[in-house]
Amino acid sequence: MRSPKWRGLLREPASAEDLVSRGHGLLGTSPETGGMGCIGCHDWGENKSLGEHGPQLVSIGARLRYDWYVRWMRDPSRILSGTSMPNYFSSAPPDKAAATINVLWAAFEQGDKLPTPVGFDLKAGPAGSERRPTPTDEAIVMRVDMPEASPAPIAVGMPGGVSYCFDTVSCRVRYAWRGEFLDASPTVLRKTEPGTKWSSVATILGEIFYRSDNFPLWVGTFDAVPECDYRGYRIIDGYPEFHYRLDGVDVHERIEGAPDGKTFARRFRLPDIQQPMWFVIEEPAGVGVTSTLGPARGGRLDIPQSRDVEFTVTVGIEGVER
Amino acid sequence: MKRLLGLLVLAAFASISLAQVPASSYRVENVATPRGIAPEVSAVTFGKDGLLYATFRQGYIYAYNPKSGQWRRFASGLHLPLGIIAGEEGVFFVAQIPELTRVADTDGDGEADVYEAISDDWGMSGNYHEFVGGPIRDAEGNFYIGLGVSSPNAEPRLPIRGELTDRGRIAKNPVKGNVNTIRFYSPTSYRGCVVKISASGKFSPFACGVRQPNGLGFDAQGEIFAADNQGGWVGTSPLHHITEGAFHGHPASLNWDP
Repeated sequence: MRSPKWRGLLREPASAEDLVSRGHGLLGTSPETGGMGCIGCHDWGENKSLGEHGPQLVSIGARLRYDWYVRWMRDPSRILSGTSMPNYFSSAPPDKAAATINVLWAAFEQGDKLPTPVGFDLKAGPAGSERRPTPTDEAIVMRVDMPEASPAPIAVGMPGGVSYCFDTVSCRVRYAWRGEFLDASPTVLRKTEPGTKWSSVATILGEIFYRSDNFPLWVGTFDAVPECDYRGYRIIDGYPEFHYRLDGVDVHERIEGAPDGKTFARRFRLPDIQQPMWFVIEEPAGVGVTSTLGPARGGRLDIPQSRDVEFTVTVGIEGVER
Repeated sequence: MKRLLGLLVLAAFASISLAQVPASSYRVENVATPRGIAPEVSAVTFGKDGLLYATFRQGYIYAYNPKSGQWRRFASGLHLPLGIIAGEEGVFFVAQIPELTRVADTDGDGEADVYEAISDDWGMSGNYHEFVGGPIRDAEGNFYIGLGVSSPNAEPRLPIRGELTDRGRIAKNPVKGNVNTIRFYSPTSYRGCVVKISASGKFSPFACGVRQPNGLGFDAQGEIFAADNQGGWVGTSPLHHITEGAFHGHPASLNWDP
C-alpha cells in the first residue's frame, strides 16, 4: 500500500464517505445513482461483466498510480490507441470531469471492501426494454439468433401473446409459443453456454405449443421439397407479410395471432398458380388445424390452380374454437 | 440503465478553395443518441430528405433531424446492421448479418414498412464473428459487401445456411502429432470474400482472402478498397485494393476459391 500522504501531494484526499458512496453508484447501472455502467465491460471481483471483458476493476486502486489513472480517464486513446475504453469526458468541463474521476477513484481505493456495484443481477433484459420488447397493439419483428432454427430466423411477437419463429432459410414457421415474447440478452451480451461459446441464441419466454418439422407447401410433385427463395417482408396493418418463392411460385404469407393467445392464422396469398399445389397439414399432439380450403384429403389441402388465390390455415391449441 | 451518451461526429464538408482557412471547412458537433436505445451506432448516412440516418447494433435505424435535434424511429428488427447507404427518398440499403436488405418507407409515414431481401446467397454458421461489411454501390448499381470469417471459439450451430465444410478447421501437427483447431475459419460459403450483388440481386464472389473487412469504399477512380481487421493470420489491419478475382492473403476463404 502506498502512503496516503504521498497521494495527497497530487490532489485533495478523497476519503469522505459520501465520495465513496457516490463512486459506488457511478460504477453500477442504476439511473438513480447516475450509474455510468462501468460493470457493463469490467469485472468486479468474482462478478463477471455484463458484456465485453475489460480489465478487472476491483484492483484498480491498488494497481494504478493516481496520476496515470487520471490521464487514462481523460483520454484513453491518447495512451492506448484503438482502445475500446470510451472517453467519457470529451465534452465535459475540466473541473466537472476531474470531480467525477476523483469520485470514482474514491470507490476504487476501497477495493474489495466496496460493496459490489449494482447491476450484475440485470443480465436478463427488463420487460419492455429493447432486448426484451413487449408487443402491444402491433407485432414486433426481430431478426435475432433463435434456438431450433437456422442462423437467419425472424422472431415475431404478436398482441395476444402468440409468438413464432419464421426461418428465412427454409421459408417456413418452425415453431410458435405462448406467453411472453423473448429476451435477446444472451445474443446482445454474448452469454455463453457450454458448447455454444460465442454463439448464443435468444431466450424464448413462453411455452412452445407448435412445432413443424416439414415443409407444408408442395409444388407440382411430392418427390422433392420445393426450392425456397426468401424475398423479404412488408408490414401490413401491424403484422409482417412474408414473401418467398417456391420453385419460382410467389407466395405471400401473413400471420396474425388471435387476441386470446390460443390460435394464429396463416393467411396465404398466391398471385398466380399454374400447377398443382398442396398444403400438408401437420397436427402435432395438442394442436388443431383448420383451413378455408375445405376438408383435407389424406392430410392435404388442394390449392386451386388460379390467379389471386387466397386461403387461411389456422393453427391452435386442440379443442379451441377457431 | 442510465443512458450513456454516445457521440456521433458530424463532419460537414463545404466546397472550399485551398486558399481558405482549413479550420472553416468543417465543424464538429456532438449528437446525443436516442433515448432508450443502447448507444451502439454502427453506421450513418444522410438520406435524400437531409436527415441523418443511423443504424444501431440492436437492430434499429433512427433518423436525426439536424435542425430540430429530434430523433425518430425509422426501422427496427434488423439483425446487427453494420452498414447503410441511401437510395431514393425513403429507401436505404442495409447490410445486416443475414442479408443485404432494401429498407423502404412506401406509405410516406416516416417509418419503414418494406424489408426486401436483395440477396442472402451466402453461408452463415451461427458464429458471432460472421459480420458483414459494406454495402457500397458502384455507378452501375452493383453492391459490394464483405463477409467476415468465423471465430475459432464456436462450432457451426446446426442447421446452418449454405454449404458446410470442415476444411481448414482442424489440423494435425505433423511434428507433435496432436490435433488442433485453426484460428479463424470459413465453414460456410464465401466467408472471407468480398462479394458483388447486382441491382437485381445476382450474387457472385468478387475477391477472397480477407478476414473481416469492416469498411469498404471507392476511390475517385471507382476502385474498391477494403479495410481489413487485425486478428488470426492478419498481424495488423491492412487496407486492401480489392480487384476482381484477387486473393488477398487470408487462407480461410480458399475453401470457396471461385
